[in-house]
Amino acid sequence: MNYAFAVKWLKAFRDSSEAICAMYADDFVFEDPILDQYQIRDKGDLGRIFTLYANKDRTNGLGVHNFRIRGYIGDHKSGLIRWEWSPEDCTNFIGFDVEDKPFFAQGHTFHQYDDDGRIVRESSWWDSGSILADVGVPGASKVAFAAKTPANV
Amino acid sequence: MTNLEFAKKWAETRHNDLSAHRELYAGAEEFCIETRMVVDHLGDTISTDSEFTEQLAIFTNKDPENGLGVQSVTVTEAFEGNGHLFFHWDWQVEGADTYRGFPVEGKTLVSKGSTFLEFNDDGKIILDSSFVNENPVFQQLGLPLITPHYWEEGFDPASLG
Repeated sequence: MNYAFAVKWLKAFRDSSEAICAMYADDFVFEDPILDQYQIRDKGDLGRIFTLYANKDRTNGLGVHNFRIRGYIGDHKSGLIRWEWSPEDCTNFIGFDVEDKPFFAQGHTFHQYDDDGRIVRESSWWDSGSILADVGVPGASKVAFAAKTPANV
Repeated sequence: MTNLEFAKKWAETRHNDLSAHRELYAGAEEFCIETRMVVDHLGDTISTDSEFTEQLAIFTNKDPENGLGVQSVTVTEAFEGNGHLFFHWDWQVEGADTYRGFPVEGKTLVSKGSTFLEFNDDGKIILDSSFVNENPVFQQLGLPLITPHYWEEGFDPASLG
């Protein structure tokens, strides 16, 4: 679509599940494999996914989810939104204690749109691995693979 | 060549022939490759020939003994757009000593990933944005990482303990 659409999409995240669900066609496929969300096709399920991102209560541990657009590449039929995310006041993330441990992640979301500009296909992917090092999970490193050295052979 | 075939060629050359892989991209400093979070483009964004050679070499490693792991990718589906291509792939690593600092202990790591390619008018890649889903890998390595299906109707938050 374009940068403005991407900003609208992320502002809808923050508004409500109703606002974000309205941006998807009735016949849609949503996937965010990082959170094990595959082949989501039901608006009820989609709404429950986005409830988390609309949280405004800084005391309930769910966090307030700040997003920024890095850019959009594509046209009105399909394209890639590149974004970054930095939650605040979140206490637990995918099973790890993140209270008072700031972190951020970057990701990309591919969209296909129908003739009315509604999302018919979404595929989101992001860097969760770097977060483990950021929040101090013991042993975590930012380096994916490391060659054996005389010390660790 | 269909876009699915192009995606398969991208994957095959990325892991077996970096010279042929380089031919898919635009000239030096006319392309960017980002395969992880970008904190600083100096180090996290590949845009020169030397960075291409040095930083992508790990993908072509075939030595199962050096600790770097032998990676393989199988493209599963591709989505064609106007001047761009997005595709999903299955990913496997054998022989890695560690992953993100965690001991692999002989396991074969398996997950999925995605790649977006933007092309110039000559059909050369000017942007390559890729991510692999690392969470299943961490689970395979025994980390207590959870991805509860909180969106499913009737999900009980109390089940998380």
